[in-house]
Amino acid sequence: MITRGDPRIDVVDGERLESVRPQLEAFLSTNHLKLDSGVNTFVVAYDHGDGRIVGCAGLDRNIVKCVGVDESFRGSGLSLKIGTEVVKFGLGDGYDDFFLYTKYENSRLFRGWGFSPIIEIPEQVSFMEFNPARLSSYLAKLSLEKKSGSRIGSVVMNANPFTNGHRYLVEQASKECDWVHVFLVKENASLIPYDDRLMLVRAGISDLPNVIVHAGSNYIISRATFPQYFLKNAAEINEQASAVDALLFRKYIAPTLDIDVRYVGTEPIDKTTAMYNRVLMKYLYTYPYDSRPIKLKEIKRLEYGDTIVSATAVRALLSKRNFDEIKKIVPETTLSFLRNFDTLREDRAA
Amino acid sequence: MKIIKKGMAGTLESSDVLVVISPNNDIGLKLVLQSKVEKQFGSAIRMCVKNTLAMCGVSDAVIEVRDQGALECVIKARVEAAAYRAAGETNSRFEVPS
Repeated sequence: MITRGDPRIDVVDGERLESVRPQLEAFLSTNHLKLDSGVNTFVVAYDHGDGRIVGCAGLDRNIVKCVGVDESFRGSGLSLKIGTEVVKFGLGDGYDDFFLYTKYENSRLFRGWGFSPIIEIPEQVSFMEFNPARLSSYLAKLSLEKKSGSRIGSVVMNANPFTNGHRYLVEQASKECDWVHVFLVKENASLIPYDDRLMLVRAGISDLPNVIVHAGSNYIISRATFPQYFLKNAAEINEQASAVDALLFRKYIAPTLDIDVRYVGTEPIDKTTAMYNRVLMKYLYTYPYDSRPIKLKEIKRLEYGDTIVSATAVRALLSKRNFDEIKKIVPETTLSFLRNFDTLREDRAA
Repeated sequence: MKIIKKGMAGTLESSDVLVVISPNNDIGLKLVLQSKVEKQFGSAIRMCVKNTLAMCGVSDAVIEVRDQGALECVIKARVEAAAYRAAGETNSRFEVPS
C-alpha cells in the first residue's frame, strides 16, 4: 500500500464556498451527485499531495447533504473524519440534532457516523437522525395532547399563508371527527416565516373547540425541503419524499395520538400534488408496514367564483398587492397580517 | 465547575468518543449514551463519565456521549476536556493523575 499524508480538511462557507463551487460540483458528479442549492457550508477534504478534492459533506441547516468520498480513499476512515467535522460545525452553530436522507444501500456508512435510521424503505431511501433520543422526547411531549374518541383526524399544512381553504379543510375534518390534530410544517422554505404562519393558523381556527394545533417539529416534513440531489427523476423524488413523510407520520406520530385518518384537499390543477396524494395514500394505508394503516380522506377544495382557493393564489395576488381579491379568500386575521407584512417588506426594501 | 455553554471533545472515529456537554438549568445530570458496545460496557462507560464529572465538580449538565469503542482513559480525557470547554475554562492544567 502506498502511504501518503492524511488529507487536509477544511470548512468552507460564504465567498470561499463560491470559489470552490465548480470543483465541488465536478467532484460530486463523479459520485453521481448534484450540488444541492440549500447547502451553505461544506466540509472539504483535499489530497495531501496534489490538492484535489477527495471528499466532502454539506450542511443545510441541520440536514447533512452531498456526502462523497473519492473511490481511492474509501475504507480509509476519511468519511468519519469528514463526519466529525460536519457534526462539530453544526453543534457549534447551535444545532443539537442532525438529519440526512440517503439511498438505502448507503445507510451503513452513516451508521458509522452515529446516525440511526428512523424510516427505512428497503431498496429506496433511509431517513436518519443523529440523536434519536430527541424523537422519543418529542413523542413523549406530543402524547400529553392525546385525546380519546372514536374518530381522531389530522391535517398537515404549510399554510403559507393560512387561507379560507385551510379553514374549510379543518372545519370539514372537525365535523367528522371527535378531535382533529393540526400540524404545521416548520421548515422555512416559505414566504411567510414559521412563527407568523403558526399564529395565523391558531387565529384562523380558534373557534373550533375540537381542534388542536401543534407547533412544527423536525418530524413533520415538507416535500418542499426534501433533498433532490441524489435522485434522478421527478417521479422518483416525488415518490420517496411522500413515502418518508407518510411513514414518519404512520410510524411515530399517528400511534402517539391515536390518529385514524389524515385529511387532505383534492388537487385538480397541479398534477404533481395530485400524484402526491396518491403516493401518500399508498404509504399511509396500502403499503405493508408494521404500523397500523392510516386512512386518507380527500376533501374537495374550496372554490371562490370559478377558481380554487389556495395559498399559491394568495401569494400571487400579494405580489401584485391586490388586497381586494385577497380579502375574498382569506380570513380577516390573515388579511390584516398580509397588509402589515407587505408594508414591512416595502420599508425594508426602501 | 458550572456549565455555561455547549462544549465538545472527541471524534466519531473508531476507538474514540464524541462528548457534548451543555447546560441543564440546575436540575442535575442527564446522560445520554450511544455506544457500539453498550451491551458489554454500557454501565462501565456511564460510571466512568459520572466519576469524571464528579471529579471536575460538575453537578448540572446534559452529557451526550457517542462512543465508538473508546478505552476508559480516552473517555475520561474527552469528558474532562468537554467539561472544561463547556465551563469556559481556558487556562486549566491537565495532568496525569499519579
